[in-house]
Amino acid sequence: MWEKMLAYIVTHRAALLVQTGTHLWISLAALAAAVLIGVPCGYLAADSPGMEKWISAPFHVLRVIPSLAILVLLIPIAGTGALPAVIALTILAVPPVLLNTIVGFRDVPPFMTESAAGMGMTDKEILRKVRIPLAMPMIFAGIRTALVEVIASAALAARIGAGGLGEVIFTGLGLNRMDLLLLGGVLVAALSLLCGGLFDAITGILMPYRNLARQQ
Amino acid sequence: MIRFLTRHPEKIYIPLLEHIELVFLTLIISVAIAAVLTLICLRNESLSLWLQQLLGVVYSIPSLALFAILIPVTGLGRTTAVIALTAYNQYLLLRNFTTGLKEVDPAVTDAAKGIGMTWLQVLTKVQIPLARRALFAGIRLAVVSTIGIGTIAASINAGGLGTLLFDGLRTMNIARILWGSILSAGLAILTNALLRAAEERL
Amino acid sequence: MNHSSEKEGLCAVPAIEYRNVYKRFDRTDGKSLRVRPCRKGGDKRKKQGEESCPDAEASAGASSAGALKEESGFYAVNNLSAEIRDGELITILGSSGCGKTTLLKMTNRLYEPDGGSILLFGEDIQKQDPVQLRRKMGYVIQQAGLFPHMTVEDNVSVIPRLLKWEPARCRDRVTELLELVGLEPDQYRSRYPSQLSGGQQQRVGLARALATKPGVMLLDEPFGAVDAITRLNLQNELLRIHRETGGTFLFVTHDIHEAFRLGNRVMIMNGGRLLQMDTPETIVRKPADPFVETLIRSAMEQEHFWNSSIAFDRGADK
Repeated sequence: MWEKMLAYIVTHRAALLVQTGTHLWISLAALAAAVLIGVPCGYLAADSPGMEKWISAPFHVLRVIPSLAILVLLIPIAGTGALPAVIALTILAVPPVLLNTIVGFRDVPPFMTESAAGMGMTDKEILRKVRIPLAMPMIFAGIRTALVEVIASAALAARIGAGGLGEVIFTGLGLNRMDLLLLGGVLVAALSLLCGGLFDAITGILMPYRNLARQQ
Repeated sequence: MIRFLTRHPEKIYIPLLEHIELVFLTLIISVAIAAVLTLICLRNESLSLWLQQLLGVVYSIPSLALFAILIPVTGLGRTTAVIALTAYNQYLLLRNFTTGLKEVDPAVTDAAKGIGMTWLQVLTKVQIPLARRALFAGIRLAVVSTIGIGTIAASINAGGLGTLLFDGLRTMNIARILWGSILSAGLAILTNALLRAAEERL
Repeated sequence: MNHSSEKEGLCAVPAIEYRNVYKRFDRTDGKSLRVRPCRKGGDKRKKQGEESCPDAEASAGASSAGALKEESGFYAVNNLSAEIRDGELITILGSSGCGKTTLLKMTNRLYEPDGGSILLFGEDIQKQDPVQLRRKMGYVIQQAGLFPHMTVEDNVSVIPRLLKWEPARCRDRVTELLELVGLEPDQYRSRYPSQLSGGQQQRVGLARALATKPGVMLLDEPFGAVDAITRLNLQNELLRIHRETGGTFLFVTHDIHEAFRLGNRVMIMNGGRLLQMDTPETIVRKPADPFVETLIRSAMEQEHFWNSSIAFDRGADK
């Protein structure tokens, strides 16, 4: 089987590259869209208790719905292909980002903002220098969850004609070829782990204060 | 759509039942394994960290990929699905179980130890009862997750509501697509709500 | 910064003056919603339960007291008048809920009074922009409130940087301040708050509050969260810092020993009212109120247990 796999990689390396690229760009596009939607909405919802209930409730429900259901459900509405996939993936990615943003802002201890106000910082300065930095770890955790979710669902999206590495897996399923299944599975898994690891590294650089222990 | 229901009711309720069966079976196995792992992790902190990291890595592997990787070893069908689903559930269950048990007020567990209860007695008579909500929440998360990923399992011949979705996709049959989506979404939402309500009563 | 503490006289302008100050809360638990710094001239955004900034100076008591329903709330500060001279270290003493923190927070307009007025060096604080007002004062809270995502250096220099001081000036000021609060500058400036002990965090909090050389320092139970030994050290440090900077310090505490040890004069509050404001010795000799008397008596009984043969001598500590 290994020989078959290697042979496939060699003969199809161009196609594999394209598939990896597609997989990445639809995932990242959806993630970017989710962040652009989720973070501002989350911030606005966090600041207004009334709005928060209305906004977070539907997203909590959305989170529970199987991703495949959402992907497939969108077909009658948006058709098949890459763009409908990006839309579906965005819908899937917004809940963790939005909900984590809300929690991130709400979790800033009131005495912290009060201390900042007491020192003479304006509202904008407090937002910029205190609330946003303190909410960031939670927001980034939400983005990380969304990232994993999106890459996983992008694999499924191959089934609705979006391209991506899921195609290898589905081809393997259709042709009953174990080598393709293994190849596809490993590639998608590797992509997910790599992106996750990269994201963790970036988070570690941006926010070094998160995991410091007491020095004496 | 209603026509589909009246003409081929078995095409709807059979996948539904298969799905529920899959979830049930997976949950029982998952919770049993997670319980054992939790006990081990409570005794050994470093093992606990290592195991949770490993499970975290597994959890971030997309389900389709994990199925694909397992098939050469365990073949198509329900077995593979149950194995993969159980593996995913371990991450959720272990994390919630250990956190829930550890967050029981240390003062209470210390008091229990102090009056002479054994480690096992402290666990069964003090920690588990006090942590029951957190434990149940972990199970609820696992159930909902299994329902969701279970839909994907249809692609590897494990049955379930995903068959409606994939078949509908293949034949571009709106009725199947709608039924598949609504039932799987509905099952997930309903189960979550019911378990939530039960959790509140605990 | 005013150094008029040398010329103490009846004609010197008091650093802080409270005139018939009232503050009422609607909720019985006394909790107010999240504090917002007010915009100039009044806060246009009125959220539920939040205090709005009065546009004009409220007349002594008459306006608010009549308009409010007595049954649904309580007076956290009830008709309080007092004068604090420049350069004094005033301790405000009382049990939880007596209004001392409320009074402190009205001094830098984190809360707005419902009646009466507060003057800072003769000027009504209502007439000043709240943000500018707070930058003229130092504010220290019990939890230190150090920003966990900033180093010690960044924390201490946060207001100077917002005021656009040059980096060199900021750095020098941080060095100066860390030395003042007893922390070795090169060792501590690059650390994060999570790497410091509670006592060290409080010192940094003090340094941060002193960054712009404020004339008035407001301290809200700053040493409440540290252990007794550290607290004693910090109290000594505070006395030294007060001596060296010469500003006016308002120090809220519920610990009678701390209040009497640190304060030039002590304000004793209960139920929103000021019961007595005098030097510690005067209060001990002539308590003005049965509550004050009980307070003194209980403290004396504790002292008696530890050391019945040595009289309490404040002079020895300075």
